[in-house]
Amino acid sequence: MLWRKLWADTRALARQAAALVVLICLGVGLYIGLYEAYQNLDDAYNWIYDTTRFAHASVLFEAAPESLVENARAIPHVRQAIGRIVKDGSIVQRDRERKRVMGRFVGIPRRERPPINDTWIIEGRYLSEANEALLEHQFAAENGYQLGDRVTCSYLSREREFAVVGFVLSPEYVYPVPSKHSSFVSPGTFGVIFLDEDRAREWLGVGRQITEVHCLTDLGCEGEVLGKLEALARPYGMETSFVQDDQPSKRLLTLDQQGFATLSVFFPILFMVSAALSLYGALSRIVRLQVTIIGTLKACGFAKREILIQYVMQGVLIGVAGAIPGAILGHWLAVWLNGMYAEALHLPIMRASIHWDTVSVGFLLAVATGLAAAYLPARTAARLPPAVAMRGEMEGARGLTAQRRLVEWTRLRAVVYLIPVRGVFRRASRTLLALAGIAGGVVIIIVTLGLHVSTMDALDDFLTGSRRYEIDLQFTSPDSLGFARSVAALPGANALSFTTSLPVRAKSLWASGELILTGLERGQQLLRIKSQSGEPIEVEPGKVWIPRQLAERLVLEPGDPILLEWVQSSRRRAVKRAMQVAGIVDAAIGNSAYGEYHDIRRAFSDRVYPNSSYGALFDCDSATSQSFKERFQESDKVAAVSTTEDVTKQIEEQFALMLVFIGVLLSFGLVLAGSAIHSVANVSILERTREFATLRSLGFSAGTVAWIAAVELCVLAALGLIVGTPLGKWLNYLYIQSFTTESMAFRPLLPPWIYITTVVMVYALVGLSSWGALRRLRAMDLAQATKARE
Amino acid sequence: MQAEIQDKSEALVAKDLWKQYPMGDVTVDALRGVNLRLPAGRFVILVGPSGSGKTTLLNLAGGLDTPSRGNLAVFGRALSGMNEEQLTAYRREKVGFVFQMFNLVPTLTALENIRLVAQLVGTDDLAPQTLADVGLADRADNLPSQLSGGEQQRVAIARALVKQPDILLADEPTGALDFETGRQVLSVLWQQTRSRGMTVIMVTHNVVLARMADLVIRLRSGEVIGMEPGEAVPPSEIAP
Repeated sequence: MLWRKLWADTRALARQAAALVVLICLGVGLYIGLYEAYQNLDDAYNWIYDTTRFAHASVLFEAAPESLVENARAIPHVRQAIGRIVKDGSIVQRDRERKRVMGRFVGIPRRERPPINDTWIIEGRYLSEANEALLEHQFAAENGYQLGDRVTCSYLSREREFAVVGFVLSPEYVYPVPSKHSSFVSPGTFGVIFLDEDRAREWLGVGRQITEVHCLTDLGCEGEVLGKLEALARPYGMETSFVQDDQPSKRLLTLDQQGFATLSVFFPILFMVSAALSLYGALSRIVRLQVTIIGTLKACGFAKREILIQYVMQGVLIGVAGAIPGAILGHWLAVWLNGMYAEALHLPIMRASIHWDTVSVGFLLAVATGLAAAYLPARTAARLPPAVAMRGEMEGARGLTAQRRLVEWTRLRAVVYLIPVRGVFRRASRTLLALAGIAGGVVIIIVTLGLHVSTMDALDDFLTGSRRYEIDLQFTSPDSLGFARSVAALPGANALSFTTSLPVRAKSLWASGELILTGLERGQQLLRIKSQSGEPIEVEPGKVWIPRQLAERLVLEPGDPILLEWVQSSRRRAVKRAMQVAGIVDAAIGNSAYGEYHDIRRAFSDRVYPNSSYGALFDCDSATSQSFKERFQESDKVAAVSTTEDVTKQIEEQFALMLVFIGVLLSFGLVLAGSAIHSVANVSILERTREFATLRSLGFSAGTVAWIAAVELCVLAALGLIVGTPLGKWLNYLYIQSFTTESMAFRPLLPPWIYITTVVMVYALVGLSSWGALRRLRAMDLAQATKARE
Repeated sequence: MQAEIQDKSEALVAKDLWKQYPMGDVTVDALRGVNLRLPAGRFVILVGPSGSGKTTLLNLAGGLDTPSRGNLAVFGRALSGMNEEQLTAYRREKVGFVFQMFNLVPTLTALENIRLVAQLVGTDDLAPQTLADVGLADRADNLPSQLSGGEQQRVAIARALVKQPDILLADEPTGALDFETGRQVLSVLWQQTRSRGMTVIMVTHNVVLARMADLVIRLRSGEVIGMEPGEAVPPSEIAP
């Protein structure tokens, strides 16, 4: 019979129970959705890594004899090792939209599949002839390649055509980035082509040399092996080395996945806390309403434990009711997110499976929320002495003292104003509950809008704040400078400024980090990099402006010494230069330090030929940028050309997914804020049915009573905003910080409009809830309500 | 008909008054064609078993509910057909309520509860005296939760009196009190309404208390089955 009572009590609470079920459903749904999406991604990546035998440790160098592989195989804990020839050049596409793009040519064995870093063939077949090529599938899709097409590869002005026989997914280019310094995926302008290694050697003119060694190691020994590999490669101009987790593509994927993991915990927690608080409030109210029933039950002989279980089960019931649709919603969300992801990354291997471990955790989370929220009210119910309970009493002396103090503090001439003012603080637990609910809503609105603003700021800063040019050029050799100057003299060209960029390792007394060192001409106006004070930086010899995230990592301040070491030196010994930190650069996207162009050339680039990287920023009217781009692309002196339009498109494609996430979170956040405020409004009205009915019986109009309820909600909303705003600001900071990587450092921006929007949203929700309350007050059966128990 | 109900010497006139409540698939008749004429300035008690329609009649008289059919007028004001605003104005200007569960605003002190209503009708200056009249001048700053049940009900009576209503409606005002406390409360109610010449309609289960009335109306199954003069005995003289 007690169970029937439990069921009837829950049904009587239908509206509130429904709101709580929705909250729990959203929390569980968001958790399962995000976490399953994360797991599906992880499964897909791991599957491809396992299937293709992704290297555990790799070392890249300028050139070494093949015998280096034998030495690598001799390193303890190395299970397998391979050597490869890999060179960067350009892909010439005269009959396609992009005439010339950056190309990476990877030599692989034709007669057998590589034992390490194999590829997964999405379409077509593996190499069987020497003049065949496999294309990285995203590049192929972006540039419209079909099986059977010819692809023209160019290396040091030597062009060679290959027949495309397959499109492949490579573990090294799931996120197709050329190096760890690349901020953005550029499948359209960066193509990886797998060629027969013998034909590649012949065309590239490298003889029997190799440029990379990759190893499979015993579990957990990759770090130890890498150290030994580095020692082997150092005499051959070691450029970089990494264990599997630090491989550029995998690293970016991991960062992306971590974002998922953070989201899948951060937001569901907010929902669950709000749900728990609302449930606590609702069950406390039930206990208050049923105090005489509880007394009677105890008088009839029901034990404390039975009463406790009865009320705890009410919470559990609501938890389970939220968890079931939450699991369905979550799985649907995961399928949708994975679909978006698969489309954005062209990942054909993504499978959205049900992860029962995650579903179980989501379920347990919901049940635990119900349990935790119900326990205190249930314990209060169980502990009520029957005699006291049957008199309908439960207030303690502490409550009375607090109420008396409230009376002392609030004395107004017009008594009607006292009701909402004192109503706000009438019961500490209720006030705290309401505050927590509203503050939770405020936090989620601020964090989500803040994330949106920071993302847009980063994009805007990158695309319009600092870029004052139309075309970014990368040349194949220094000879190209003359070519660029001649083009710059053509009609329509506005300005040209030369740059040089090279990967360097920066060292301070405390730590080291890798970044791109960019040389800019003094007085140039095409790239306006801002310092932390917002002023454009001025480069000068001997000094370098470093990015904020690197400054923090290396514990550097303006004026401190910094050692820069070129990691791609071909002199087989490090090229180093001690410089002074000129200042800190405030750039949200990119991992570049800036020095004076000629100074950087003298110190690094000029000392090595022909592998130096030279570039130029070229400005022209946007109407002529396409013709200039084509002109540059036709030249074999230009390795890569990207217009502002290209970069904008790339960035927008990459951020589209993030903006969708933000949209999803904002929608969930608004529902949460709405539920919390609606729940607070409901409790305010329901708890005081008799009081409001009495006021109406005494002659107060429905409007006045609704006004009292609305003022109370407004005061609660104001307090919620006061509590939630700094909390939201702090959590926004933490959340933005969690997005910071070496190449991205979003600013935790909260412009005034976010606060205004938050206030407007909260008060709009209060208005909506008050309107609902007014309707209920108007429809109230006064005769019944004046007899209601409170 | 209008002429009939406009006689100001009559506090309440009910003509063929019906009240029906839907309960699931059936309709329950709470009042079945009640006809009444109650004189002004009298202490009227409605008695009858549970479900006889006492409280329904009281609620209709107080404008808390509207009749299903028939006519009802209080001090010449026809309640049938009044809209929500008119009913609110009626309750504000003409009626004082005393509820079984006192229904004080828990966050307001005793005096503030009275002033709340006094300010609504413009009799704020009467509030302290009215509280004193019910013997609670020294409890003015106490919250309802700091008052006994009897004291709370006396505050509720003062709250009803301070409006100086034409009619005071009390629904089982001692229902939540023990006999002795109830008797004390009723003494206050009896004295104060008498001294003000106020019309009172009180619902009670307790037949003994009917002795304090000027007029006793008996109801059963939604119908008036008897109307007889009471003994007008002060409650303090009524034995349990």
